[in-house]
Amino acid sequence: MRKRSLLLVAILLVGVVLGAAYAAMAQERPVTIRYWADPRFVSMIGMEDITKEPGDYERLQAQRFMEMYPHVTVEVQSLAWEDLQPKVVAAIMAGNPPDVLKDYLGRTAQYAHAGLLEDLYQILPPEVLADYNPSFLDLYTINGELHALPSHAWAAVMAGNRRVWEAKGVAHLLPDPDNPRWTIDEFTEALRAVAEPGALWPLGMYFSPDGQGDYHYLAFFWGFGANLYNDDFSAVALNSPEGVRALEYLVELAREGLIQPGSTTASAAELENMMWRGHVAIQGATLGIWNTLEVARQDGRVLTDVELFWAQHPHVPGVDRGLAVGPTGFAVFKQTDDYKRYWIGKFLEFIDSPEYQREYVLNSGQFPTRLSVDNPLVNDPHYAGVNRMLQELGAEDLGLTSPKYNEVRALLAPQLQAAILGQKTPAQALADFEREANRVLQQP
Amino acid sequence: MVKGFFRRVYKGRWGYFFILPAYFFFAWFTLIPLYEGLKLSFYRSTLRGLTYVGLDNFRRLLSDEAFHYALRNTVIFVLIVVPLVLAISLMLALAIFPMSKRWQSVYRFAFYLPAVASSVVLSMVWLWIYNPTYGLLNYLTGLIGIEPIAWLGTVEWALPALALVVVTWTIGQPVILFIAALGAIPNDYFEAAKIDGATGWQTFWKVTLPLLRPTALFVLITQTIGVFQVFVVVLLLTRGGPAHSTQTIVYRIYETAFQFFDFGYAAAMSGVLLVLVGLIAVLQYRFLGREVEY
Repeated sequence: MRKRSLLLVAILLVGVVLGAAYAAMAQERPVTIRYWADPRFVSMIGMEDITKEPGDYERLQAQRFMEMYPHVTVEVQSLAWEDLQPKVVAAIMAGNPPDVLKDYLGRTAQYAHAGLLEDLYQILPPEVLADYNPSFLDLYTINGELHALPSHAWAAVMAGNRRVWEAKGVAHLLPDPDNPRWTIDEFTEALRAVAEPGALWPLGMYFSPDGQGDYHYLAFFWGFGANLYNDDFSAVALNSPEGVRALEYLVELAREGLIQPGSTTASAAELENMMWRGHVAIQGATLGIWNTLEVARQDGRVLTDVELFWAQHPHVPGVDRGLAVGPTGFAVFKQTDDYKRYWIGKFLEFIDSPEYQREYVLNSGQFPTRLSVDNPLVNDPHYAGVNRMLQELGAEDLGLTSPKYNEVRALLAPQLQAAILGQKTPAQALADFEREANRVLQQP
Repeated sequence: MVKGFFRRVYKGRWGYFFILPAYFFFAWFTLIPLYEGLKLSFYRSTLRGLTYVGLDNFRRLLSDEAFHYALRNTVIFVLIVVPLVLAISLMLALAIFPMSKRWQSVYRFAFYLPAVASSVVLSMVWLWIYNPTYGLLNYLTGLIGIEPIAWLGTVEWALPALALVVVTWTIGQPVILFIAALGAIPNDYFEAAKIDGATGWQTFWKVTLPLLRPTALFVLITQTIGVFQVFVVVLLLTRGGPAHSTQTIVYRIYETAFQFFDFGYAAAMSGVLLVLVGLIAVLQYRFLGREVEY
């Protein structure tokens, strides 16, 4: 009897222990996701008070995800634009990259070529990927792998202050809003009509030594019919008669005082400030400049009357080129834990849902990559116009997914600077660029 | 000999014990990274991984035009900034030293402030000062009829413009050192010189300057080492432009590592910089560091 009692107690104890173990296994294991993001989204519409600083919006998103899945912790870090590459690269070399990175295609593609990223075709369900514009998925597929999830994309145009031309009674020189295209001659005439030596330099340009904003000066090369790369990206092709003519044109504009002084080391922020002060009348931009203008007005930095208009970069008659397109996506660095990989996939689905893409689009003026997004800007005339132009003329290839994209674009800016400053002739500058860039492209 | 070594270590055991924490940090954050960096310079190190290449990285430096620009610009930068800092800080110290203690404190604070202020904030201010269209400097030069200059946007002016920024940032510490050194000179020497009928200029050349030599040597060597490593002002104001005219060695190292992902090659450049700066410091000390006769 006593032995039987003891046996029953033992069985009971084993049952309790096994039951507890089973209950523990049934609960989700805690997992932490490190998410680094660019600082694009601040002062979000309707959430201005709680998204004042870069990273605030991403932390809100993370909070919502963590409320849905309490066992998941998402640690958000927002990086300044100039830190995006150095900090991520330093983390990679230290063996400690983030789990998820929101960044520009030109940078995530470099990490993909180095074999550092997960293939999202293996992580995300087919039904989710089916909602993405196939051309964006193709753009993001490198060596058969989806290296990042495309989220939103800008298209580069020119943005100008109509009031400058109206004040001089020459607004008729601006392109028709229904078809905002102009030839090189029309563009030059419009610039000359509003130039004021020492006070207003019509065209704002910058040639950042690290290649940031390269699409704005490349658009002039395309307008003359030049190409940046050859067909298979094995060599650069900018050193052509068309390319030399394009650079000669920019040099001539600078000599005439139609480009602002100090363009060779100016930054995008400086250029915008010059526009809000009335020192520059038109510059390369994306549709996000309308939001930027509103923020500048709230900060009290707009010191002149500004009404923005947009137009394509000018072109030589007979040359029809597209717009530069720059997408941002979510990349996942290689994981060793299948369980964590699964939850990163769920996080990606969450932060790139159609609802969030709608917010991205509304707050940045960019284009969604998902087909089911209820686009809030579809009736915005500027947005619709740029979209129409994209459909008609297509997108230009910046070589964003080329393995040497970073190096090649950093080699071009100093040569353009040298030409603008008269240190080299345009032909010499482009020849030097071709020699250096092709040497880099030929390296393994 | 070994026994003697251990005997000496044992004799100074408490001294070693007290410097051990500082030495640990020095080893962990300076010596080990230095060793690892030098080791890396013999490898091709990219995001894809490591491959041993021997002296290839150093051979590449011989034909790398951009590195030659950077080396040349850095040397020019040092030749502009260091003598200016030495001369200006000495003059300021001579002007401040005779003042009352209160005014000495005010001026010491004023000149040392840039050294402790955020370099990012200072750079933003200088960007505004140098702005070609609404900057303060062009406004002031415009008052005397000089046409606006793109200070940071032209090859002729960009490097001198950066040099001026660095001079204002680094002048504080030498001023304080020189003031302290002037205070350490015994008054007897000045009285003796006065009795002997020396003029102010003679007193300065024959008494003050020789007695300031150790401090001047220290300032010269530390400023040379510091200015050779100029980086922040280039990163924030010109990013090496225009047309490589402000490209410096450390900025080139940063570009090579973090933009071009060529860490081994960047490490090779760092090695060359280390040797160069070390050599210059040794030469300065050897030729300028002879003892002063009293």
